[in-house]
Amino acid sequence: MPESNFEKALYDALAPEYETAMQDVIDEHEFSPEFERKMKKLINRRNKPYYKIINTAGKRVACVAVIVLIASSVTIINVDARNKFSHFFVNTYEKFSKVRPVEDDSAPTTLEKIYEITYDISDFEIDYFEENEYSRYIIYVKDDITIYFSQYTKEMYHPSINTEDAEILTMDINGHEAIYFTDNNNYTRLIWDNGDYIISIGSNVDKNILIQMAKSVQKVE
Amino acid sequence: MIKKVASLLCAVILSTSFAVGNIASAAVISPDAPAYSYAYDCISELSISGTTATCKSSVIGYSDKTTKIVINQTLQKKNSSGDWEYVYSWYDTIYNYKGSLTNTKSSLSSGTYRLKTVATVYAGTEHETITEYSNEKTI
Repeated sequence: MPESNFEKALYDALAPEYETAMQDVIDEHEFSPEFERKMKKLINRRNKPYYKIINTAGKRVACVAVIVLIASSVTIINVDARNKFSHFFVNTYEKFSKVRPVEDDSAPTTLEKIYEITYDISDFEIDYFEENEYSRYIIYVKDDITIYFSQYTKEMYHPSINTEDAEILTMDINGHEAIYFTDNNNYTRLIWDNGDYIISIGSNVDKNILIQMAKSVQKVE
Repeated sequence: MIKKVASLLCAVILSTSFAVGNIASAAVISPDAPAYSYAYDCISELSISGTTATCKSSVIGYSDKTTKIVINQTLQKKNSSGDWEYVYSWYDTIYNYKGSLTNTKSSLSSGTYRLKTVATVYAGTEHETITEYSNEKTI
């Protein structure tokens, strides 16, 4: 039998069976709605511009870690900027701190009342006295002991102070929160808002005596 | 490549976090960080009555260290772009560990003012320079 006739005979014999079989395959399969939803979601995710950054579990973990670290960093920065004292804003720099009283519109704008140390310091001499209607500054000296005492209106109190290597803490002085620290010249200082004015006392005297002096500060006129 | 970038980013942020943490626990590094080794207090006071400003700069050192204080007071006025302009200045040298400088300037025009105090505080031949600003006052 010539080859062409054989091919024709083979075609005639198999073609109907082939067409029947192919018909079954050509019939379109209908996927479930859930499958379609998942596929659509996958395609949408694939089309996102950041897909390559999060397309594996490892990358997703790295991204979460980055976000957590950034959030932690921001928190640390905020902690530093946050004021931890109730009556003062204290910005601490490398070698000093800027102390600012919390704004108080009801506080006197001039020294209407005068406060002084009532602890017995009669054996000290006044080495410096300076006052105006907004502030009062007295330095007492005995031998190598110096006591710095000042009273300021809240509006005028705007100092920078030596806090290098010092830890600023708080303590109660007659019901008022005082900030206190010992500086790198071994002078301890207490600063508090007595409701009307800012009182500051500092000295190289024994710290416990200084605290007693601070607690003795009273209105004298 | 992406993984390398993510790892690098993590490393940078981790090191930054530790650095910031250390700064937060110690202190913020000031750009002009004066030492305050010889100055106990430095306060600028500005009060204004009518059109006259009273400027007071108090500089107090440590009695056992500070030998001389040079005080430079400058009254400044805020211009329309928010920068501070020179109005007037005063200068004094105090051969002691404490002192203050008070001056007045009259006939000021309306605006917002502040007092800038620059104090050079000496301990023998050593010295440090500190700068302190008053509160702002508006006429």
